[in-house]
Amino acid sequence: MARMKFICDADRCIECNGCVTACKAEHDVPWGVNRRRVVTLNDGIVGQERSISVACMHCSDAPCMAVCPVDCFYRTDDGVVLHDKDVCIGCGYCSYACPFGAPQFPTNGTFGLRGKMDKCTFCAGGPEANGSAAENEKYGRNRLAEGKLPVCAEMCSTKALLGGDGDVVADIFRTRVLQRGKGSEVWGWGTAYGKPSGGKPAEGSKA
Amino acid sequence: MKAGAVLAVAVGVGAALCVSGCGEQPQTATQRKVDATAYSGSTVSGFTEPGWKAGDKISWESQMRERNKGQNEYGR
Repeated sequence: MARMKFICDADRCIECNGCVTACKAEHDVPWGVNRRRVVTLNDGIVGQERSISVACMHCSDAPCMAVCPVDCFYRTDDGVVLHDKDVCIGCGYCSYACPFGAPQFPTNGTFGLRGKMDKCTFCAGGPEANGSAAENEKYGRNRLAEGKLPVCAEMCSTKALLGGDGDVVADIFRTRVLQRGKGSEVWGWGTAYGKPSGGKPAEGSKA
Repeated sequence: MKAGAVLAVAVGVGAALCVSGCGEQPQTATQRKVDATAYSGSTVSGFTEPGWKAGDKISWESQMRERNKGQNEYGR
């Protein structure tokens, strides 16, 4: 069983914003909404500056699902966290709960009206029929149903962003780290998918 | 006769106003829909990658794994 996950290799990301552009173009994401963003860490600190591409990580224990008052979220068999826009009331609770700032709200209506929540779908569309016009209009393309992976990861020029089956992407990243002998830190992995120690503090560390 | 016609029109207009609310779309939160699995395939066959069979879970997972390996330049 595939368990879909994202990894962003901060040692490789060159902040080209290609993933952001590809996502916007693939899904016709409206003005003012970015499902994916590139964030700079340690900005201005010489030798420590890193960039990472951030979107919904499709968490194992997603906080957005826990706080949604209308229960519009669901998880697919492949571990992708999706939501039903017909049920969403645009309350914004999920955006406060998400540690990655993934939920976005279009605000182009009258009086700055906040619309239905929009976020990365792991290119898996929504609850409408796979590949249908209704699904495309609300959620964008459904690449998983076409036998493809998320466009952001597939077109990343330096392959900093890896997306797909968690076991496979973790293996790819492990191979890289062994080859280069550094850069084993994976930003957001523990927050999204839990720590290898199962939440228990590592031996010798202060709780 | 004239008064009767006016009354009939008034009743008609009143009845129309009374039932106008029936045409409104419900705004209450509905239960979320059930999503189809990714391996069941897409209706857009033109964009679907060849090499796997829609509806066959094993075939789809194998396709995903192979596609995933394309991200590993050490394995090329």
